[in-house]
Amino acid sequence: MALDQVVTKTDDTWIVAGRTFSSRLIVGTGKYKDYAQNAAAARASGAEIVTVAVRRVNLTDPNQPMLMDYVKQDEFTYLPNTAGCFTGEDAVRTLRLAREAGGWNLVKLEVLSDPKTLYPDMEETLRSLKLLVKDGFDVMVYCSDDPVYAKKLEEAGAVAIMPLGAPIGSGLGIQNKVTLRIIIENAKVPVLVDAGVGTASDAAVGMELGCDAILMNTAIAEAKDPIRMAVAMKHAVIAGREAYLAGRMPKKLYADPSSPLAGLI
Amino acid sequence: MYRVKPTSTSRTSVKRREKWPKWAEKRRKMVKILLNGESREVGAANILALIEEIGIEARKLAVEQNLEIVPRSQYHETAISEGDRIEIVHFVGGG
Repeated sequence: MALDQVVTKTDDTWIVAGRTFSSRLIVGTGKYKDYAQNAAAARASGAEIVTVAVRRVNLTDPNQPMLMDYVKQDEFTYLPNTAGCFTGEDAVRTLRLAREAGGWNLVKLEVLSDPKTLYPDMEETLRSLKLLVKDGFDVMVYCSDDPVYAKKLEEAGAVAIMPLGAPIGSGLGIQNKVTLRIIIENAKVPVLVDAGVGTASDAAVGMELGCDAILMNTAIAEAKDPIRMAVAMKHAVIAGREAYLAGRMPKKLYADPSSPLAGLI
Repeated sequence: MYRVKPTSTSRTSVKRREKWPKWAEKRRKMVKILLNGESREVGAANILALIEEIGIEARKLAVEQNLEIVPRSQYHETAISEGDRIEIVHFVGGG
């Protein structure tokens, strides 16, 4: 790669459902101290897409702060999720409301099983995906790291496959490099690591595996300084991506001197 | 249909009603609905009036009536009937 390309490396974009993005970091908007901090962190991360949830309006206090007044839709693409849905019908209902509130089709499907692991229920996820695709949605799917299910999701029309790197909100880092790599190799749609990242190096590891982007929430929101961590994640994702594109050196079992052996005095 | 402007607090809706002219009061029939899972008596005759009664900007919402989405363009012509199950949602932070 020529140096001038490095300086202006704006051509490294990724496409999901026909939409082109240059940031490979998607951030969640949950768990922040307030929406102002949330918006500042989202800006600092350089993310172009933010995930959002759909919930009932608080009728007793309709004047409490609203997400849309801070994390603005002219600044970020909203990716509505189905958090809290346990069936396909719940997911379709939630995302139809999201489509009406926001007017777009790109959505994140997550159908979870038990509250302790928040592990995705893949059978129900696949069924939900089919319902949503039939309803005209472009669906990015949170899923387990099972390469067989990943393939089935793709065949059912998922616009992106988003396997977990570790349980949601755990911050354990990427625990499943082998299965993620297989999913990435097999997929023709973008693959994103969604969940599991705890710190910047985890994001870099994910990107070095060759995934198209990373989705995270808690790693930024629950850092002592969320805005600073957002900056760290931005750099980590870029670093991991560049390292992947550069191609790492082969691993060796023993040392290999960097200084020439010839010409020693 | 007589409508009031949304004010900063929804709690004032009772006070506002007192100021309504007699002819409007006569037309106004309270109906019992299930709004966001809570049983409520509302005076609003349609979805637009209901949103104004609550005091939220319509552009930030989505509304479902008896499991059917109500498009924003139809808020004013969508009548509210006794026993309706209405959900009013918006976007909140999430991962």
